[in-house]
Amino acid sequence: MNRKKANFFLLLQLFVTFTALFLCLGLNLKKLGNYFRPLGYRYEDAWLVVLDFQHLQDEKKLEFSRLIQQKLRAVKEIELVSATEVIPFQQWGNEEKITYNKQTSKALGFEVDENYSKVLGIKLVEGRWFTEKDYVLNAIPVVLTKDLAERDFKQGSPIGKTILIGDKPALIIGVSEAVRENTGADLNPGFFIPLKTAATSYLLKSKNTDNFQLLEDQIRKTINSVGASEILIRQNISLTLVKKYAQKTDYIQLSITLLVFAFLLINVFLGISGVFSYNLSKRKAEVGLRVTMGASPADILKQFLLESIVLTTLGILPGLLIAIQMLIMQYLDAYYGTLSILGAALFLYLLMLSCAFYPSLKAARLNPSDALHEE
Amino acid sequence: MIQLSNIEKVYRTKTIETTALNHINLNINKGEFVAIMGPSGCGKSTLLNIMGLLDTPTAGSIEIANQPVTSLSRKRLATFRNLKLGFIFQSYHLINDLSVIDNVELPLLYRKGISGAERRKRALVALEKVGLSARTKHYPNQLSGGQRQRVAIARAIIGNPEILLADEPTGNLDSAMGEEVMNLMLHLNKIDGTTIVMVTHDEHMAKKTQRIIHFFDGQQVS
Repeated sequence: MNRKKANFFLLLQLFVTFTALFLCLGLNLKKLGNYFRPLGYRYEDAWLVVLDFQHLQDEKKLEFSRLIQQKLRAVKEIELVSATEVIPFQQWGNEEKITYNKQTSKALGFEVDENYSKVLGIKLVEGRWFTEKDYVLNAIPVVLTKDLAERDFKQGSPIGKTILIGDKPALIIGVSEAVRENTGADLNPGFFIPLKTAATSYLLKSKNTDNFQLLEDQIRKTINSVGASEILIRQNISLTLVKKYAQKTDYIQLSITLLVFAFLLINVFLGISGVFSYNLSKRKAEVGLRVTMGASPADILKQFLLESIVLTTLGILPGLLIAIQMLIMQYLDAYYGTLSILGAALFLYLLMLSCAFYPSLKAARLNPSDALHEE
Repeated sequence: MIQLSNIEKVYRTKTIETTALNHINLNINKGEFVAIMGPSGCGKSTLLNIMGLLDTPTAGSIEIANQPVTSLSRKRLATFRNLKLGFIFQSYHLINDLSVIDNVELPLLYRKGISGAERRKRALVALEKVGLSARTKHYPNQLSGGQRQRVAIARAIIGNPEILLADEPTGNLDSAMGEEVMNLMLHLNKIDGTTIVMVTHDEHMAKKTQRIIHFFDGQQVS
């Protein structure tokens, strides 16, 4: 293997590592940043009940659903009940087409009831939440999330304006704070509309969050008291626990990614160190010559470290072009994409310098008369 | 110019002790052209390395250009070598990845306060002196042995050293090219007044110098 060949492998390794590092950072940095952003709701005193109506007919489902809600409201420990198919950390909205002023865009539709905002403490920025009275209107009452309002209604307030959801008219009656599905999720513009079908999930706001066992028992007894053997309780837990389970999956994924990545980096470190040491071992005579010509040990160290910086720059250059192209094509968020480029480049420079330092130091300490005879 | 007093060089391993130089006392005057001769392994090259500050003696002291150098740090030794000494080797020791002119410029890279343009100018002058000004952009592997050695001489003289140390400079060359290189060194000694110490096996070349020192078994015999 000659020096050019060895350098080619080094450059190839640098290019692949930079690209992998950039992609890994690009995909995970944003998620990490999301952990520090508000969710837009409170989950701490909310409780989740998910039922399975099995093969019950729609009419029966609606009837039982209403009855269950009524009975749950009567439980002393429960302050509020919301029937919904939108459950934080577990099941989020569906993508819908919305049209305003002949401009069509996409947003997440959240089918919830009139109590949803109260149960989760979702704050309104302007307007109001829908009530049962709104259900009889010709247009669907809709509450936009703040990010959707900002995206689609740049000039003025959207309150009182009519949009199309799919092909159905909807009247905007309020704007709420932006909400996110879970701690790592991106902000996704969305809107709240009344639930049309029988709910199988219920979010409850409890009065006493300390005694979870009691609450769980009360809920189970209440649902069983309806007397429908077809109804099964799938979930009966606090939303805090739902969040914990969801995060556990996130942490496992992150840990696996980090482990794989650490393993790759160790390989890359060993690979680069090996190639660099090999290259320098083939240049002992050159080191001897340079020292003979007047290079000090510091000059030799500086030369090889500088060479490692030049090699790193050459190696990451094609990767950098790919990364910039990805940012231009908007495959990655501009802020986090730029941060990922800088992070990946900085990391590789440090990695390369640390790989180069020891062999360079060894070269700088060579005895020139011995080194000259290494050719 | 070069004063060696009681120089001793001993190579030690766990089991063997080899004396390469045994109590060498040598004085080389300014402007002198001296040849060092002797059989292989007699310590000629070791002596040249010690004179060139590339190796340290086990005992004894060295003075070059009226300056004691034995206790200088590696950094100061490097600066001293760069300013005062020029080296020519049997196997040329050119860097194949660098062009002829870049090879010649090398010593000036380690000298402070010399601009790139100045380096280039001085490299051209040095190459002109050795008759290779038309080969500046060539690479070492595109040159003959004699041309390579002339590039090495240009590199050795670019910094205007007071002393040239040549380790069998004609050893790898045929007689015609060897003659050419020898004449060049004689010219440098005569015209520029450079002190030259040359290690050689070639009696014919040695006879052209002002003084021949013979070595045997690490000792100066004449």
